[in-house]
Amino acid sequence: MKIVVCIKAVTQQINTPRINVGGSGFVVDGKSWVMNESDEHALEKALRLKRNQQATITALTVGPITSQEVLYRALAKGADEAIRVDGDEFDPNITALKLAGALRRLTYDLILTGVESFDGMASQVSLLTAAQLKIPFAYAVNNIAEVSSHAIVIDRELGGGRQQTLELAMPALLAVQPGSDPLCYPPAAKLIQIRRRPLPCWNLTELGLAEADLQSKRKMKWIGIEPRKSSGVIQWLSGDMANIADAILSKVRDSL
Amino acid sequence: MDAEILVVAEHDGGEMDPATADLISWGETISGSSQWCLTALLLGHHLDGAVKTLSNLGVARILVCDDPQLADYNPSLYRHLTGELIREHSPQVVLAAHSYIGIEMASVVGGQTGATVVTNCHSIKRGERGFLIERAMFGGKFLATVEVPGEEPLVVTMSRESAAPKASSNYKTEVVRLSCPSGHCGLIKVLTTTKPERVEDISKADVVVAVGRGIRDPSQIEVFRQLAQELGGVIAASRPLVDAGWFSNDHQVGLSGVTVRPKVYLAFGISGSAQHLAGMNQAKQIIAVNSDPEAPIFGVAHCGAVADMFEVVPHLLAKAKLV
Repeated sequence: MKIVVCIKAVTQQINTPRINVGGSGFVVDGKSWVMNESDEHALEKALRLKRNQQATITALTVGPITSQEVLYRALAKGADEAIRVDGDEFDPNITALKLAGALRRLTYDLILTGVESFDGMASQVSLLTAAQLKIPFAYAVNNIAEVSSHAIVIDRELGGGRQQTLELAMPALLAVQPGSDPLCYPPAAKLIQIRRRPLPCWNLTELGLAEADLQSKRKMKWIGIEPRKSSGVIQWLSGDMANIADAILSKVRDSL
Repeated sequence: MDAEILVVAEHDGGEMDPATADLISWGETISGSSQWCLTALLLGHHLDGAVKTLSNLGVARILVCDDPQLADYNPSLYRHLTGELIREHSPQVVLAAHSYIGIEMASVVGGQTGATVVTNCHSIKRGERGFLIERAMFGGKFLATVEVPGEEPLVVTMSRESAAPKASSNYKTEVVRLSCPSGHCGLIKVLTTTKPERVEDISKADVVVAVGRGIRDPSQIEVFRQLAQELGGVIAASRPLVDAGWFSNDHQVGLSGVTVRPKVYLAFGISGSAQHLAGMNQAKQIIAVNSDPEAPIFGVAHCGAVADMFEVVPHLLAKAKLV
């Protein structure tokens, strides 16, 4: 079975992001780029499938050179191949076009990715990619129950505590929830060794896309970003712990 | 009326989700004076009550498909029906809730029509050159504004955190009944759909004491449970603690779990992921204690303390016992 895992490099240590020239995205002066949480859980599910049956894993990302870090991590954890598609996108409609372009060059039975990225928070890249490829997909998957040669049985959430078990014909795409499954940590020596490996980087031509086509599909223009303001009515409690406790209890009593 | 705004009605077994009323308000807001036709799409079974609710909410038209095959969310059928309707109606704007089902529907419409998809939105209004949409980004710590052209088809999912403006309309609602194709299976087969058994219904409590990732060990939960008891409330948790097996699913607040609207919501050690905030931001009084002053939970809290939850709680418990 051939599995492609789509992952994104994100950073949680950010100052205020700035809108880039042209307004197509953001400049983020982040440190320590890590694999997006739900994408890492998608990779773990792929690794488990690889352990239990014959499978090869290709890690795929769309991102700038800094995002190579997460591809190395994926390789050190057990992925067989890793490919970077150049770009720094904050429009899920465009990222999905690029991913779909890359996936058309690959053969796959299963595409796994996370439900949502920490930075973009759109929850759309995975599903729009599946829609581009015209393959069945499921969102909020928390368990892969069964895999046969043509179909996969999964459990997924519908919200409000509802659960659904689905059988999807393959090839299919699953958007995986971050869960409680333990993550494996690659040995440092392996990470260092794997960094010597050159990683292929595909440009638009290699994806069969033209910049002019992408431009015509870029409809989102970012015009502002600011730190989230509080509800505007937040009252900060200070003082020693006893004072804070008193203030909280009086708020509770006043509200009942 | 030239253009159409299509609202994907969100409901659970015919019981209308409050998010739907918000979507309709947003639809009326962006329609403004141009009198776009506000249409609701309602798919499911046993929908008479839901049709009535939607009529009272003031939509101009309801496209309803009421069929036993649609009793539970069936991805293949829902996607097929939605796709057909979108092709037929070509709405200018499709509005859905930023729920698991809404997220799927948005991508289906976007994928089939090439409409621009903008999700997890906090507000939408018309600007000079199109629509101006605010959405949370970067772990919910920032709100970004994006502009999209007004003349192109658009699909938007609205976050439950969004505060919909009050709108009023007095349309006479037209109800259009649609038939459901039979035997449509597609490439996705539903094997089972289950609803949770609620041992304890935290959505009915006046006081919810919720704990999050700040809890490192299950033994640390007891003191918060006692506090909940003293305050006549219930204990609840954010997703990581349910995933860790320390709480059952019926205690989980958020998009995956239960939506609560208590009189008081006390959040201890909860950073406030978008998924969590969507399940509690309608509480009347939100009091948050967190050691990280940047935690998004403070963005929705009415009252907050940047403090170590474990240092505050013994005082709270002792004082609550005295009351």
